[in-house]
Amino acid sequence: MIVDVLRSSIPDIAKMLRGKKISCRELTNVFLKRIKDSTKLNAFITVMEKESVSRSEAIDKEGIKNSDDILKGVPVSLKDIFLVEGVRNTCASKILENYVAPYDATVTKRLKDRGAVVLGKTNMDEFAMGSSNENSFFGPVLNPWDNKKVAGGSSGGSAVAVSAGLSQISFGTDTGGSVRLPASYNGILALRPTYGRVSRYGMVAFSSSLDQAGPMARNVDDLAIAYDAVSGVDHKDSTTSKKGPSNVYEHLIKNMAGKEKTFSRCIGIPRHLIEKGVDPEVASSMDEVIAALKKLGFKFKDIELPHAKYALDVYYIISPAEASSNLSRFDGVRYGYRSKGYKDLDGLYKSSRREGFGDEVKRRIMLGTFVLSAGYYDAYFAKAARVRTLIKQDFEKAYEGCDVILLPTAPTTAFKIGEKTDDPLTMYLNDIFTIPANLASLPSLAFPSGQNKAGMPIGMQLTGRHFDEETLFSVAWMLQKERPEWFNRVSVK
Amino acid sequence: MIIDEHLIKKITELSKLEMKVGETKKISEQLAKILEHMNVLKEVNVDGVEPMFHGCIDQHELRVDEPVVFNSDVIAKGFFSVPNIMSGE
Repeated sequence: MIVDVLRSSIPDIAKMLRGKKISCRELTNVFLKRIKDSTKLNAFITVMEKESVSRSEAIDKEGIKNSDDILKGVPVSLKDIFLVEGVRNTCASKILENYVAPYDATVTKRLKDRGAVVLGKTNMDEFAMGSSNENSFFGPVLNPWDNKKVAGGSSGGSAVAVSAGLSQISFGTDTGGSVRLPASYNGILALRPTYGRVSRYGMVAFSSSLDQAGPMARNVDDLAIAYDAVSGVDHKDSTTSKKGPSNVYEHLIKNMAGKEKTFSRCIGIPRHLIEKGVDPEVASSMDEVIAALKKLGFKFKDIELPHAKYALDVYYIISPAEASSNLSRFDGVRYGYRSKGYKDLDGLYKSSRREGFGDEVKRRIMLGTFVLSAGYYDAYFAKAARVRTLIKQDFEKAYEGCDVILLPTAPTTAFKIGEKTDDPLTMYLNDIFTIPANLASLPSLAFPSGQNKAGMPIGMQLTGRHFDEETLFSVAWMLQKERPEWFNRVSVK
Repeated sequence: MIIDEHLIKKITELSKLEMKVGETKKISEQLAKILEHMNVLKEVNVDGVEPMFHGCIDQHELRVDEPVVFNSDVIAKGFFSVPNIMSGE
């Protein structure tokens, strides 16, 4: 039964629950046991054992009808950045080590309303700042494919939870690639939706103009169901788009199944971005993806994104600037940790922040403070905001000639733990292919495309027009049919 | 870009962070390296380009303010009014 559950999609699980092949309590126990047996991976910060068991029992008592939501009774996990009422929310920081959420985030509420069972809160880079999940107060997350390698970040715990079968789906956040990068390092899928498609209410803010919540899953069906469950306008977040909930899963079932051959689109490739610095095995995996898509009837076109080469620098000006402002609320007074060694109010702020924040968070707060400070604002922050416009315009021009853009998610597969921790700039370069979509507010879907000779997963990403998640899902759906061996992989024997 | 002790002191003061003795040198070097990489932005011509300060794609409407000021005794031009909080002119 355990193996059945681990290889199942949400629609399969929904069938098992409705056919009484397994109860919600039994299903929840399968995942809770797997979480307990995998504590070495360090994927969870808080396991909600009591809450999830009592929730599953309530669902069993109520029963699951055919007409009920497909997510009813499905065990999910959330990055420790989405508030869950009454449960601690640490953002993997000492400063919030004992902070208990007073209300549910909109993502949490929508999942609960649909009947999902929340198993717990997953490990992450502190305040979502990082690409390897080594910046957690609770220690690094280990990659389940090779425990000496990083899980990727910042949503590393969520990626590992899905990849190692500790949770059916998970939600992370993507400010500069934080769901797509760990998804690729772990052989699973992730979606960064168009900015404004998913509410940020109750999701602790890092960089407000870039943050988006995104689902992570082992197959396209689960990813679509997860995205549909949380998308749509929310009056509690004025930056959400007025559009209603997405309906991608129904589109895939009704419009795509059996009609794949009639779906042809043009895929753009920015060759100039991948000429150097890409691992040969990643490059050859991309060739395989292109070959599979050509076989399916897709056309390809070389495109230019002339300003994308500046994306990394723009991102590491804008996101620390916004973070330095957002994280000013953590002052030792209103939330969590308060230092004992202070003489006056100013000293209370300073020592609480010095003791409460980790090195990377402090580095970014300082960088952000610097680029916003008098004398440097115009040369850094204002300039970056203008180059951001040019990056967005490049994409708009590219989409006049193609429908989707294909790139590797990262230049390499997961690297060794500790390999890049002493050199922040080298670490930042990991995000080079994911950041442009965030700066331009575009949707981007990362999917697995096999593995290298050492057995480490490789991932690619499809970036689409604003609000055109449906096309990204359609392409991924077709690839899943064409190359099923790339999908639904679980990193356990 | 030279990140000297004076500049680090200014930044840590503005951001209410403290550096331990010995930490300043390391962070100065790291920040200098990152800022040096950012020099590449100097080559981009942004004349006449509008800055992108937020991520929203479609227009969003501001909601109507809740009527709250009527609960105060002292209102000036639609705002809450309080005694002077700054001295001098």
